Amino acid sequence: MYPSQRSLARRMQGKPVTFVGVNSDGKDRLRSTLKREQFDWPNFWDGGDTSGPIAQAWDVTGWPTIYVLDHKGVIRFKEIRGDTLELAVSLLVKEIEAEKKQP
Amino acid sequence: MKTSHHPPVITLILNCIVAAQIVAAERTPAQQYEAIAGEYDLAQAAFTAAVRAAKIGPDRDKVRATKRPDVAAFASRFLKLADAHPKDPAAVDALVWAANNGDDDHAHKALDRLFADHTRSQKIAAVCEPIASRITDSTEQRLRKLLGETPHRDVKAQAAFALGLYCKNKAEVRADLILNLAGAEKDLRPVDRKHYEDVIKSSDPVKLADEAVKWFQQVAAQHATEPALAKRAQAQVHEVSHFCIGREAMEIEGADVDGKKMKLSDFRGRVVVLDFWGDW
Repeated sequence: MYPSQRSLARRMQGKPVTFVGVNSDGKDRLRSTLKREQFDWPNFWDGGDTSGPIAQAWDVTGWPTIYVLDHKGVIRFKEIRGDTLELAVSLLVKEIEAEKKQP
Repeated sequence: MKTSHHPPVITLILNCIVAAQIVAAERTPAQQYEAIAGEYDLAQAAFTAAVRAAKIGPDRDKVRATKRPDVAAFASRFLKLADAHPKDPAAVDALVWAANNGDDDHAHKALDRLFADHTRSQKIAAVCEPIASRITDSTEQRLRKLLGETPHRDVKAQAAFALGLYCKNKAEVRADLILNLAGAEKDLRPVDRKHYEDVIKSSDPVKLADEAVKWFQQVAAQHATEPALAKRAQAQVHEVSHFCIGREAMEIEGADVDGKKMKLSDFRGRVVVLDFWGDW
């Protein structure tokens, strides 16, 4: 998962796309993973374990769990990975570009 | 007086066989249902044992691929039983089995008969939840018909719950179709592409989620009479209100690992891949 996330993030550089993580590890572990994997996108730290407040509020029971949100903050896709995730992201980027072209 | 050609013991055995055959011919539909179901359970147990006995790897995969009980053959026998005794309660059991466990072809036939002839049976409740993942107009029509025709309170609740699931599943299937359409546009047959486009155009995820909320709320209100289902419905109300496709993502207010405050809405205007993760 890590390499594919990183490469997707690289390919989307310059586009209106961002990963936002919600991480359930302890602080030290999260710091070292971010450094080792060169993750440069924002990550919420969720209290150090899987029963953190954000995961609880979102009813997350499996990790990883992925939601894809459009530029208006609406949930558009769920639980997709790899090529499908990239496809979904580029569809939503196209929506932003189409909206910009409208007068 | 004419004596038997057989010694007495053999005569006794022969009599028993004849008696057994008479019993077999006169078994009730319920007994016949139990016999087929029992046979299936034995076949399934033998299959599980064979899988366990095979070495993990190609051997086990081969057993899995070849020794599985033939559900189509069992479903066909259940359908025949239902045909032979259409008015007997065992017919409903047989059709429910074929609908829930059979191959697609037999399952469709069984569902047709169940919803045509047995909507007043209490046992039809058992197919409601399984059919909610079949996203076709006929599923919705069947469940609505059942809701109108059943005299049983628990079946009504099951049908309403299944309608909620159907709406929720449909929103997810719609999202899958959007991705399929975009990902395989050139490979799709025009007829399939037309079908995908029709489904996508004719449904709206927000409306589907709202409809799902309505169905689940209806079931959740019946906590006094249907406590278990009402509890599940209550959890579904929460899920389809906040985490369904089409819903605005719930705000997250928190901080990064260095304590720097941030909100999910800070990223509005961009596509966000929200990833709940951990390094384990």
